[in-house]
Amino acid sequence: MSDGGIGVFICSWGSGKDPKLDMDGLLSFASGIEGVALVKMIDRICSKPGQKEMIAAIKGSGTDRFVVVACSARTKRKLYRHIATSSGLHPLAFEVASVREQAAFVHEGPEAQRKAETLVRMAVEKVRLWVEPPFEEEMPALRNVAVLGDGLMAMAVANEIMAQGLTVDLVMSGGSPKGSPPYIFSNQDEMDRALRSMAEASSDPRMTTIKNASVLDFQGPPGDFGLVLDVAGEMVPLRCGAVVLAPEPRMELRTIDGSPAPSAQELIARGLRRIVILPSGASSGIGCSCMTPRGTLYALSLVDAAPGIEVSLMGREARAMDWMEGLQRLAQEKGIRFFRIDGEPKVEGHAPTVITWRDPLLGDMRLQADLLLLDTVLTPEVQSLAKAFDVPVDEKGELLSIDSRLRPGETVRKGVFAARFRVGNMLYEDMALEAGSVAARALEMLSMGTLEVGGAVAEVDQEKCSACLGCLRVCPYSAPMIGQAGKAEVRMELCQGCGACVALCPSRAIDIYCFSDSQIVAQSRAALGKVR
Amino acid sequence: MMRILAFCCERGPGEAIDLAGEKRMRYPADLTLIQVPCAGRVDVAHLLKAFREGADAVVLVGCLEGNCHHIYGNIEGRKKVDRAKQILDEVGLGGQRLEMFHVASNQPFRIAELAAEMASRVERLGPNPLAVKE
Repeated sequence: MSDGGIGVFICSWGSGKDPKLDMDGLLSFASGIEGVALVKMIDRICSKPGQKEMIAAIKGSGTDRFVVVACSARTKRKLYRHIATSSGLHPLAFEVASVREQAAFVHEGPEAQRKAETLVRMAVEKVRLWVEPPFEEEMPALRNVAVLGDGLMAMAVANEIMAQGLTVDLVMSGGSPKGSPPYIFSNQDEMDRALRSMAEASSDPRMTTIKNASVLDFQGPPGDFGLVLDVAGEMVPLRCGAVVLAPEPRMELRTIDGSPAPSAQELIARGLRRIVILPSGASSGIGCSCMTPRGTLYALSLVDAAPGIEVSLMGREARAMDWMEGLQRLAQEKGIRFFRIDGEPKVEGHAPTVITWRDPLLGDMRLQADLLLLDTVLTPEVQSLAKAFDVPVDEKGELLSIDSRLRPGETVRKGVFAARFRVGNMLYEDMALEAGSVAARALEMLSMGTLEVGGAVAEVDQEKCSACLGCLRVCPYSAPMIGQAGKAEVRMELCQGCGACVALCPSRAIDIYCFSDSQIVAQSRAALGKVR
Repeated sequence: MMRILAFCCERGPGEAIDLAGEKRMRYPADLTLIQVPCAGRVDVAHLLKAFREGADAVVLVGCLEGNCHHIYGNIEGRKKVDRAKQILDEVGLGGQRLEMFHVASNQPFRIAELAAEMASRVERLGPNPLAVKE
């Protein structure tokens, strides 16, 4: 398959530091493999000079695919792609032998060396059978975003998107923005500005508001999603380039039986003097387990109104950034007590309630309370949104992010983004930052006007297809369809490359680029030492 | 030396493999990993062919149930493993040589565990008779 031969590049990192791998031995091993036209040791592939050297070597030798013997593709895939394209090759024309993660770091001595050789052999055998996948960068993307949410968060996301010239369809589950915003504002001015921008957004001509809507169906490729909404009993279609889920959190301070937190007057009237506020996450695991500014604010309102009341706040940690620190100092000066908890506190009895817990510094602690309040943050819409868009929910009840540090705001569905609230603080400024960052992710995808599709996608050999519909049933993305010829075809823009249809096809009519049947078999043969 | 071949989903389990490396965990070098885009990519034929090529044990590693990036790819993979196990029992190789494991990205220790589990099974069942014949 390979006309120009295979290039093998060995990153020399570790040849000095890591005595386990004999890099020169690996080099001579690789040059002995049939079809390998070029073997080169590169001093640190991740360094600029290293990359230059590699690109020059590929250009000079005429190889059309290569193997990198270096760090795992998970950490360096973008870099390897960059090297491939800079050398004039297809961006996927490479294979990685991660000899560090799978050999040097986990095995000893000669075993590590043998394993590294096996990995190089497997990568060469796999890349040998590599077939250039289709790549299309011209798939047009719609320049409007559907934002789902009822409150300030959705409005903030919409504002950011409209500021960049895109249009927004705001899909609300209710009839109007929900009551008072649940966020904590640093001052009146910030609150006024927030409410003003919300009002401005709703009158912006670039925004269409759809009220009383729920999502019935969600289909199509990223860049051209098709939603079907149920708007007060009527089915309404909506096309959009991307979707942002921005459910508004609801915060609540409730007693253990679910009634709302009483006012100071009520507490005095009922003779309740000792109040304990516990974040719901500390005892139930749902929500956050930090002391929150909301609890502090409530406590302050109590001691100001009724000086005889004793309030204790508990939490795994207190996050008090910026002006919040002053608030907590003020609370401490007024006699409000803060306790840290380690592990799960034990709550027993009812009026008085006895709470026993472990303080990381003070050891075992015990406190009696006339009234226990739970500090809870709930996002009721999360479940239905998660279901409609097939986005998983994490153990804290938030929409699962694909990687909260490296890819914030992205969900496992390409083109579906989620604004996650910072449960602990509920500061307005934090929420505004989150909204801005999520909007930026959506804009990043749509701003070019086109999307990249293709790569490791499945393809049907129409000659072999018997139209059994197996692939249509198994595909989670509805990518296969029966075409004009009465045979299955896979829509490249929808295919996410999982390969479920390939494994299922009884006629063996489907194969997938970059992970073809022949490649997998060649790799397992190489792994088992069955290659020359 | 045993030959244990593992087909690994490149998402959760792939992440776990890298993490096992970064944490310098030790696992037997008998285990060789082949990364696939999803556990659902693996076919009965891949599993059986591996035995014909001399593997003493074969493993399919997918993400945790309910946690598949492709929704139910790991369940599809499990179906294939169950079918291949039946065939292995029928031909007398023993379905125990094949197993499905579910590993999350933060469970690198499970890679070492599954290697040890399969190694102990191979010790009990002996080497792959197809490989011995050659």
